[in-house]
Amino acid sequence: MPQDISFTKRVSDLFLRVLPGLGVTGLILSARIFGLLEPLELFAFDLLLRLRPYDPPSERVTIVKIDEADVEALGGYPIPQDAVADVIQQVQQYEPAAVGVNILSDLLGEAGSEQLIEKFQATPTLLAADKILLPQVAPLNGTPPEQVGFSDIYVDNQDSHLRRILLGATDPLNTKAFKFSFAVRLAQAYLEPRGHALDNGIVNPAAMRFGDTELPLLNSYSGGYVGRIDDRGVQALMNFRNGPEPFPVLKLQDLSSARQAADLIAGRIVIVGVSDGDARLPIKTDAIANRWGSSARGNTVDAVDIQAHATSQIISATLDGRLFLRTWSEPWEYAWILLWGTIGLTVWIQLIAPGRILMYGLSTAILLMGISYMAILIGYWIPLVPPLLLIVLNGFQCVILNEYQGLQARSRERRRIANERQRTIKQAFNIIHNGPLQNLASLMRSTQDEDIPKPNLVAQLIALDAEIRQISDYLISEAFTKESSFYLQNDTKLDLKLPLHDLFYQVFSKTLERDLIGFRNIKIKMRSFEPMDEDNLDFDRKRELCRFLEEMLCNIGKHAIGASRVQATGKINDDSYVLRIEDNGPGLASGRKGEGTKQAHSVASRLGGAFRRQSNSDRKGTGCELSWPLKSA
Amino acid sequence: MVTNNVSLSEIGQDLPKVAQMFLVVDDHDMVLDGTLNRLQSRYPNIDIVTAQTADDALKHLQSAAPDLLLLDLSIPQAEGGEAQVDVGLQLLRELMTNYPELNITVQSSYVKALVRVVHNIESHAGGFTVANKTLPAQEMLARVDWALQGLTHTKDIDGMRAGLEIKPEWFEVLHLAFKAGLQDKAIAQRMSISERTVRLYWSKVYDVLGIYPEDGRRDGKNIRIQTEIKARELGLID
Repeated sequence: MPQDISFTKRVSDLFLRVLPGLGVTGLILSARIFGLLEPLELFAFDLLLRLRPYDPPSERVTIVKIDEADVEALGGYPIPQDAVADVIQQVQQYEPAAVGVNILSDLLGEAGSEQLIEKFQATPTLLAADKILLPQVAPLNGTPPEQVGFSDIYVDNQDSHLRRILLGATDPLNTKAFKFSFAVRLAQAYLEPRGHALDNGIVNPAAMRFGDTELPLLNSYSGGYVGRIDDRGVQALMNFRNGPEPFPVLKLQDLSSARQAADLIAGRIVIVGVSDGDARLPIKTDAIANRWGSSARGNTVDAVDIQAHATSQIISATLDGRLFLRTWSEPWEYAWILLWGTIGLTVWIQLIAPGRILMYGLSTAILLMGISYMAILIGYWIPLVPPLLLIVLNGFQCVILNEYQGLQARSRERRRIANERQRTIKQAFNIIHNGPLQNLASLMRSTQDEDIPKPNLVAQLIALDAEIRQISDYLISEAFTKESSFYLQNDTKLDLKLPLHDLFYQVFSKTLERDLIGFRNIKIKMRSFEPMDEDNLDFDRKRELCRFLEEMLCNIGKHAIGASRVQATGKINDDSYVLRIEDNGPGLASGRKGEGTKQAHSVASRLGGAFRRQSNSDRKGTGCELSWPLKSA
Repeated sequence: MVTNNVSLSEIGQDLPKVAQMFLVVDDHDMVLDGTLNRLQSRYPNIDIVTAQTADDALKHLQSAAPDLLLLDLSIPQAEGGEAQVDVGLQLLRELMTNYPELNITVQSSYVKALVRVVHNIESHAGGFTVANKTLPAQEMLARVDWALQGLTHTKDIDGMRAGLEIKPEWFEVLHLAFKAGLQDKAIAQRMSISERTVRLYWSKVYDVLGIYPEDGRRDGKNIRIQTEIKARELGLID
């Protein structure tokens, strides 16, 4: 009987429902705070990034990769410097905008160093890489300092994946020297001639700025990070170019083929690097879709690719407005998580059927994922995993609770039926004992005492037969549950087919019989309910109204401790019916007001009426009043 | 044992000497016969009309108003129909609404079902008494007597009231009489109702407080004073 749940029952049920929900929310929030969700959040972040539409190959950055075979051809490790100078010479003939040589000096030999240094000194747009984090690798001797950027990268220590880039940092061995990264140097070489000078940020002076574009800073709590990453230096989230071919890549032998090389080098940034798994560790990332598609994980890229992504990211942000990835501040992130927890708690937790819970849960989850994906597309990394878990867990606990409450309701129902059967049996026995048995006894006596004419005897037996039959009809109509049956909280059965005012009398009587603390001192129970035209009231409305009266009386029973008088009246006032319940107890205590009031208001609104509750300030006690229009009046 | 000359000073009406008419509604021939015999020996001058269905009873009532209606709750609506308590209750509702002055005695094995018409019973201006079918003949006749006197007797209806349930109007009558010390006439004025209604309220109050003629006669007490004592005892007035 889900519609037969009373107000307090509903309130306590709702509480029972909300409480585990709050527990789940607390669980998720603390799991996030303690970092248990970080791996999942990073996983989701990578997933959303690589699910983005593919970017076409960059038209600004071209990579020249020197692979193992090339190194062999150039003379093996250490690579002679004049060989590198030769490669640079080959690139420069196609007039690139800038050239970055991402080959650290530890791979280079001594031979031909003058040639290479000369090249650097002669070309301001030729940039070299060094490594400033310990252990350091110094740039080649004699390279002008403004043509050197560090190529250090940070991978997340949780899973060794790369998600961040270091834009600038203080030299650990010389804390007065602030150094720029290789990517920033390359971007600077490309952007400054185009009128976008590198400067400190305006919004955040600690950030970097090219022209009007400020590069947002990352801190150790940004996004799904929970404070465990190394946040030294100026860092940003890596916004990879997505797709299997983010940059055009040239091999050494391609450089000699002018037709192929010229288009890909002229006016562009060219980054020269070594691609050799033996000499340099490949870098892990799951944030780029590769040639196996968006579902593939476990990708690796070369260090030179990372530099290309970082450089391209800065240039695109400045020239195209392709945004850096941003995150919300912590309070907003938690507000967002709580919002989804609340939606789960308040909106669809009131559902009963598991199918509907699943449906609402799924659509909420899909909506959330959609929003997260849209956010990534416009450059925001917002929390996805914590609210998603909230939705899933709330759904589960919702189903479990419903099952539990259903079990409870069923066992209550079984108990009630058992009681009813017992009552019925007792009642049947009483009726038989008081009626036909008495008549039978008197009939037997008279047959013994005197001679009764046969027709007379037959008539009496027929009457007896009819009487016994009647008992079963009576019991069926009285004792068994019908569609119009209505149960008060103490299992008293009422028949909603009765006129409403007669039902009110019974509700009043039966409710005041209950052993509630507020009823103990009541001496005067006054009630009077006028009959009304109830054509517009169906069983559900009548049931609600009876519930309402019961609930308001129970409120008195629970809270009006010491009341000596209770009064309930139903009167016709113009075209409406006014049901008033009053007591002379201690009055409205704080906390009492909310109970049942919401339900009372909703009953009122379904009837097109109004509910009022007041505490009598001049005299003791409380009163409440439900009025509704008598439509056909 | 109760005899036929019980009366109460302010409500009682001496039994009329003229022939009275009773309407007895019961679908059992045997019961009907028994009842008729008892009534006839107690009221030799009455004219007894019988009906076996609700429709029949209504027809009789329309033609002539009886001095008393003796009603079995479990009756069929029409000839050949099934006897049901609901039919009797519905008939009662109709009668009490249309004939507020009718004196009624309900005789039934199912008197408990009367809780469903408590509003009508409490508003009914005529006499209203209840006799369970298992009641000895003498007591049953006493109930008939009381109904004829316009009294209300509902003590036998189990669960009709949770303890002391009263109407606000009755409470006011009690208060005006015993706290303000007013006479019925003044009470009627104060409450803007007729004196007759005040007397009706009193009879309802007697019923609620369980003050019936038998007690008053036996103890030789004044019924109003008895009422006041009982009302104070129960905390209705302080």
